[in-house]
Amino acid sequence: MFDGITIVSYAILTLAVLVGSWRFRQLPTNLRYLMALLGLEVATEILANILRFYHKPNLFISPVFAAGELWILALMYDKTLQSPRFSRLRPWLAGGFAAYCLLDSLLAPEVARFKPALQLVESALILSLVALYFRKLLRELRVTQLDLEPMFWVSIGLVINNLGKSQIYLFSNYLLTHYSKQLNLNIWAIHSLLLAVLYSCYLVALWIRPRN
Amino acid sequence: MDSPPELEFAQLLLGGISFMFLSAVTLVLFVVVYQKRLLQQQLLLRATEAEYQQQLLSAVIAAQELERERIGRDLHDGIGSTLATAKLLVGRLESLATGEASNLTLTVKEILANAVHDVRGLSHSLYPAVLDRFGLAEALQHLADVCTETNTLDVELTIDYQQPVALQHELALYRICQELIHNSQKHARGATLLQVHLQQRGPSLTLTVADNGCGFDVAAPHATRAASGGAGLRSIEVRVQMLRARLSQQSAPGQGTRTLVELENSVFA
Repeated sequence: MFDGITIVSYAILTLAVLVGSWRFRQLPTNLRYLMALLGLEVATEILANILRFYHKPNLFISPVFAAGELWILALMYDKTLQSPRFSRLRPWLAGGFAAYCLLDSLLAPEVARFKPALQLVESALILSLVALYFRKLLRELRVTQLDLEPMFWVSIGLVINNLGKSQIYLFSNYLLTHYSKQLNLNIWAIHSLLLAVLYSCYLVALWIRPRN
Repeated sequence: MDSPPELEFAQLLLGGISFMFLSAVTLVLFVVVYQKRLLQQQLLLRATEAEYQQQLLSAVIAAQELERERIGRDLHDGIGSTLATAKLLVGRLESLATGEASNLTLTVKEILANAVHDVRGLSHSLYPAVLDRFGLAEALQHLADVCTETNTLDVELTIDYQQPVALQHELALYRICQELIHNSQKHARGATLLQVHLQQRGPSLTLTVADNGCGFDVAAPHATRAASGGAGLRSIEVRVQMLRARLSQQSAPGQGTRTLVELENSVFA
C-alpha cells in the first residue's frame, strides 16, 4: 500500500512539474516560485531514493529540504500578500528558520531518528503564512471566484498537508522505536497520501488560468 | 500490528490525523463560505451606494432644470416683456422724431430688437418650452432650425420616435443633443453638415449626432481634449449616467465625429 500511494504521489508531482514547465512563461512570479519548490521536491525525492537504494542514511536531507521549502514558500507568499511589513519580516523569518535548521543539524546530528521539533516549527510557520493569505482574502475581497485563484489551491494543499503531517511527525520517533514495521509503513502511507493531496493542489494551481 | 497496545495507539494516531484533516477541511470551507457571504454583502452595499448616487444625480439635475426653467421664465416674462414694450414705444417715438433724432431712434429700435431676440434665445435655451408642450421630436426640430438659422452648418434631422419617454428623460436627451450640437458648432472645424438621428427600435432608443468636421484622436489622453469641451462632455456623461444609457464616440483626425447615446426600455414611460 505504501509503495502504491508513493508512486501515485510521484506521478502527480511529475504531472505538476510538466504542466508548470509547459505554462511557465504565462505564470505569475508567485507561481514561478511554486515551480522552484517543485524542483526542490523532485531533487530531494531523487536524492533520498538514491541514498535509500544504496542503504545510506538520508534523514539529514530533511532539515535542508525544510529550510529550502520555507524559504521558497515565504518568497511565494511575499509576492502574493504584497505587504511591506511582511516583506521586511520575510528575510528574518526564512533566514532564522534556515539558521535553526543548520544549528540543529550541526549540534544534534541524527542518522536514524526524525526531528519532530523542526518539522512542527516548519508546519507552524507555513500555517502562519496560509493564515496571512486567508486574512488578506477575507479583508480585501478582490477574488470573486476562489476556485479560479491558484494561491487558494496552494493554500488548501498546505493546510491539509501540514495539519495532517504534524500529527505524524509528533509521534514519528515514538512510532519508530515502540511499534511494528507494518504500523510504521501504514502511517507513512498516510503521509504519502497527504503529499499526494498537496501535489494535486499544486497541479490545480498550475493548471488553472491565473486571474489578473 | 496485532498487539492491543499497538492497535490502541494506531487508532489514537489515526483518529488524531483524521481530526486534523477534518479541521483543515472545515477551515477551508469556512473561508469559502465566509468569503462568499462577505462578497455578497459588499455587492449589496455597492448596489445601494450606486442607487443612492443615481438618486442624488437625478435630484441634482432636476433641481438644476427647475432653476433653469425659473430663470428662463423670468427672462422671458420679465426682461423680455420690458424690452418688447420699450421697442414698441421707441417705434411710436420714431414717427414723432425728425432729422438726427429719427436716425438715433432707428438705431435704438434695432438694438432693442436684437436684445429681445437674444433674451428669447437665452430663455429658450435655458428652458425649452417647446419640449414641454409638443415633445422631444418638435423640440429637436426647433433646435435644428435655430442651428441652421444661426450657423453655416446644415442640420439633417431624422426622427423615428413613436413611443415617448418620460419628460425628464426627454429633457436629458434634449440637453445631450443641445450640447453635442454646440460642441460641433464650436470645435468641428471645416464641418458643413451635422446629422441628428433619433431612432426608436423596439425596446431601444438611439440618439446619434454626427458631423463631417476635423474630428479628433479618440485615443489621445483625456486631458488634451478637456480644453475642447471638458465641461460639456462631463455634462453629457452625467446625463447619460442618469438615463442609465450607453455613450460611445467615434472619431479620427479629418474624419468627423459621431456620438451615439443608446437607451434601453427601462427608462421608457
